[in-house]
Amino acid sequence: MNISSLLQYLISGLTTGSTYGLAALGFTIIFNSTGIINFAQGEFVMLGGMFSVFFMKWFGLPIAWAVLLAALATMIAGALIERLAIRPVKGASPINLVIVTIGVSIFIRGLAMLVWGKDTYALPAFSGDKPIAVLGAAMMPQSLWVLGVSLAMLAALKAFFSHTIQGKAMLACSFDRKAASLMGIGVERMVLLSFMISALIGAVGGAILAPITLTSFDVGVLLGLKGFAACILGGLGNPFGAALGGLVLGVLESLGAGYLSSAYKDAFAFILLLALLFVRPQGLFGRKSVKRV
Amino acid sequence: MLTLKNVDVHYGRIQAAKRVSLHVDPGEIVALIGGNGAGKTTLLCTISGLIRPSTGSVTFAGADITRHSPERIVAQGLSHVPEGRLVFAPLSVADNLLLGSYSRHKFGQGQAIEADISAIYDMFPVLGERRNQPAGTLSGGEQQMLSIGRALMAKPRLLLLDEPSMGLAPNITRDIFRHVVSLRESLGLTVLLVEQNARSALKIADRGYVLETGRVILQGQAAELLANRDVQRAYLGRDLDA
Repeated sequence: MNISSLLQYLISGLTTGSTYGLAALGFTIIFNSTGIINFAQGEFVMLGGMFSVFFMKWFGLPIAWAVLLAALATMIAGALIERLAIRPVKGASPINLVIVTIGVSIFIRGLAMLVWGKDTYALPAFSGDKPIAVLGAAMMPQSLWVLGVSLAMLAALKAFFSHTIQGKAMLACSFDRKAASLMGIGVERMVLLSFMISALIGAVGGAILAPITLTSFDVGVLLGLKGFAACILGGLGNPFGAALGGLVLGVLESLGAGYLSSAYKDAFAFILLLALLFVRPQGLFGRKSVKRV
Repeated sequence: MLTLKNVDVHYGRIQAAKRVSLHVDPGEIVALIGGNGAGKTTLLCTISGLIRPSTGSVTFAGADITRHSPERIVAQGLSHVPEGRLVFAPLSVADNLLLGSYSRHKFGQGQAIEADISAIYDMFPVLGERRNQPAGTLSGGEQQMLSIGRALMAKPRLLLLDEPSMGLAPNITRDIFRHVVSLRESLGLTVLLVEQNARSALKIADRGYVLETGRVILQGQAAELLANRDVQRAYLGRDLDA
């Protein structure tokens, strides 16, 4: 085991881990405001990548604009999902809503396949393909983008939740819906907002990862599941646990692929998740849920 | 100021309020007393828009608010301090108060809100001392003060108070009730108070209604109710023994 290959695995793990973390953040935000797991979160990631690719292709936009527009388009998709699929069945039990989101995810994936076909597409790297050498390991400039943008998103979210009244109101909804609506907070509007924010986060994650891992209509399945694993790993409901869970998952996956076998790369995430759930059901950073009676 | 006319409320097939009519005049403190499950909380939730009545009407300050959302009702000047306080436990005391002013935020009055928060700290100094502490770490009485302070941040004209004495020691209950009375004097607030602790509630109230299984069975001046034999037997019994 030498340092440079270890570093190489770490870099690639942190890069993919960031995307898992962003997907996990999306799960967490919707879970906090509605109490449901939105299994369409992976589709947001897919839409972010695919929209970027096609906005470049269709409109000849420069990549920055394509990514920005893709994020906006995905946000609108998120809002539509809440309006058309979640709000009409409000008051249903969480499990029914979760199944609605699974349906939505299959629908979006099908639609994406019809529109864009089954091919795999690549988004050009944001600032060239010339690797940067770091202590014998090669780092793609895109990895820096992924890490930087993820950190920026995390910081922006942190600021939103701790320094704006809308962010605090959203937290208030997650702590106590009834009290929140007595304060004049429109709980339905907050749920809509949470879907839009989650879609935005997912889409950005998808767009920045697309130059590295390529994208197609069905990348959302695995990214969504990994994001879900990350958010359970970090402790459901804790946004920073979720982001960290993503990084941990990404790094372990990459170490596993590097030192054991890359054939089982995708299995590591889930084996790890199972193992963790046996030992620490509340997740790494989650608090044990204690019910006071 | 507030009028309920023939209000029926159903939870599924269970009827929780039957033909309830009551009114609260400006500047009054009105107590709504009754045992467990009499429908007191249901009525308050109906007034603040959390529950829709099946028939009847709720009028506040001349406007029919029967079908309004809770958000609209708060903005119209009617705040509800819910049963069990329901403070946002992980958020700081200051944030809880800030969120209380949410309905006023659209008008862009950040400074006025800051001033109102310090006014709440003046009223309840203990909240000021703990402004940065998570609300969940406060004692029951402090949480009740916070819940009242939070409701006041919406600048209400009418305050609905649901069981403010629940789970509190008698001396703290007295303290809270003293605050309620002083709110009327200092802010000109009208109060509709729901209590199981009938004696304390009637002592500070002007008028009262007695609720039993969803019906108003008695109403009158608070002093009359306190002296009423039936009320004494049914709701003040424990206090008489003591």
